[in-house]
Amino acid sequence: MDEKRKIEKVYGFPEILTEKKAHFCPGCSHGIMTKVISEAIGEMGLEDSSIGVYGAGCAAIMYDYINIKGVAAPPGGAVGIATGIKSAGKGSLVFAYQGEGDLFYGLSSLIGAGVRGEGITIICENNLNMGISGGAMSPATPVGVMTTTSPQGRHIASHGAPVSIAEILKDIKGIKYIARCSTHSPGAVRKTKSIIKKAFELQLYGEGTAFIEVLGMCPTNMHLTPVEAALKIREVYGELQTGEIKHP
Amino acid sequence: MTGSMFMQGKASAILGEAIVRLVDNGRVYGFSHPPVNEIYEYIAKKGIFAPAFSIKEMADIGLGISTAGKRTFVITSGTGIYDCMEAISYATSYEVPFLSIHIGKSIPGFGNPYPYQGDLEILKAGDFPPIIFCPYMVDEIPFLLSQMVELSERYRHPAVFYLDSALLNMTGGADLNLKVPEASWGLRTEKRVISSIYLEVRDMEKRLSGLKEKYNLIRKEARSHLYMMEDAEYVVVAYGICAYIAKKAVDELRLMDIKAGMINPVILSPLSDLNGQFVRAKKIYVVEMSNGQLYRYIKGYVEGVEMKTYNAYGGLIPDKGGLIDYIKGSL
Repeated sequence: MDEKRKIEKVYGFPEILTEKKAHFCPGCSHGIMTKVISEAIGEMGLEDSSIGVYGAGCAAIMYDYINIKGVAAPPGGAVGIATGIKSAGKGSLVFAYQGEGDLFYGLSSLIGAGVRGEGITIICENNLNMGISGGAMSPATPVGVMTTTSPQGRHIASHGAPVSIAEILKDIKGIKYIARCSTHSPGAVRKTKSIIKKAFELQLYGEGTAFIEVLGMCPTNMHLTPVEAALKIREVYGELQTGEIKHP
Repeated sequence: MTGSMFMQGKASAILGEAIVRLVDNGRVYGFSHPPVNEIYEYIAKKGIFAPAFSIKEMADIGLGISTAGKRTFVITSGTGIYDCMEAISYATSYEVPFLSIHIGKSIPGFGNPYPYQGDLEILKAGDFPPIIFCPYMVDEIPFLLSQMVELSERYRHPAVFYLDSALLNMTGGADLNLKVPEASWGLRTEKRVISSIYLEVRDMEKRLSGLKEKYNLIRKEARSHLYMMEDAEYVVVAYGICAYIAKKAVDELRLMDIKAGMINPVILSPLSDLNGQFVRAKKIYVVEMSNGQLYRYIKGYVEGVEMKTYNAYGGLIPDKGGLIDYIKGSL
């Protein structure tokens, strides 16, 4: 008896990920996040209704790689722009994608969106420095880490202590979902994708604002190899509360 | 919202009603502070106000709404417009309309809430400044606002409705039957990407050439209100509340057989070509509430005619009697 071999596609190049050569440095987690977001949107079948708002920084031209409607926002303006777009078209899936430096620049927009419970998803790629500035210190740079603006390492007396972004937002009632995840290993990336999909789902169900902090590598500015950078992120990640910090 | 409605009241309420009728997004995000709080209070009573947490947030949300292809307004006063200049620049590059209403109050710094026209040189700065509309009386506010909306949407270029806080507190009556043609822009069109990033210098050059061509078309829309200019020898140039006062001064000067006239730029930037207007002029008087900003602006259009400035500042308004005496004394 002939048995027909059943062929099922279990993995492939995400349909909305363009074939344009990315400009990201080797080992940069923006590249990983580009693929993760593309897969999440593709798997949820939201290609036509998704709008990405990309913050000023290394990922500002992510619209070149993810084939959905996209906006390159002004510095600190991604959450505000995403809020405006969502306000103008409730049916769309709108997400803001920013680095942590850019996010802090527009902190009032983040808090404002959270307080009003705007139905947007905010993804903050926290790579512990401001990459587009050539590796300047960001509000989240850990103590002791050398950057271009903390050449002797971050020092609490001079630079203040690093900020845990997700924790700042916990008490804001309109932010219904807060999670912290990472891209330092394949397992962490899979978890990040499932968290992003959950946040997108919550947006579709009208469950207020969702905030996801994704720890990511910036080997170039960390002066590390991609593997060393991933190990460094694993170390930082291990010291923080991870997974779902707040959910509806 | 359309439909005829004649409204009598304070300019802040008339402006508020015009905004309510023109907005198609269902929400106006704002940051309430004096002297614009009365506009927000009116909008809030109509149920479309949403609080922003900073002027930057308000500007970014306004830009987002416009990027999505819907119409809203951002409302500022005093130094608040500085926090919107970034969004205005981005809207210029995105080629989406961006509608600001800006109330001139006394600056620098906090100053006071009383009228001033000290933002002119900031608003009209740059290669592609926003289109600046200036009403000179309460009655024309809704009509001019709808004209500004139409121009901004037609050219997909930011615009500022600039009025001083004196005008905002005056009363008047206006028809609020406002009609603006349908237009589409931003993400509502086939456009997939809205960005202002052009990393290749040749691409950026091309982009700027396109904007330059468009801005030359916008220049053709510039217009000024000419009052008794047919035979005017003594020309007053003023905008906003100063034009309101100057017009009355011109009336009285005419009764004294002094051939006075007035030019009131309805669109302050780009300014209409005033060159031909000063052919018969013996003297030009620039009346304003700033330290010579309009004077310096108009000077670029004048050759061979003596120019004088009559200004007030700090929250004071030029006095009609004082202006008449000044003109008579300088003939």
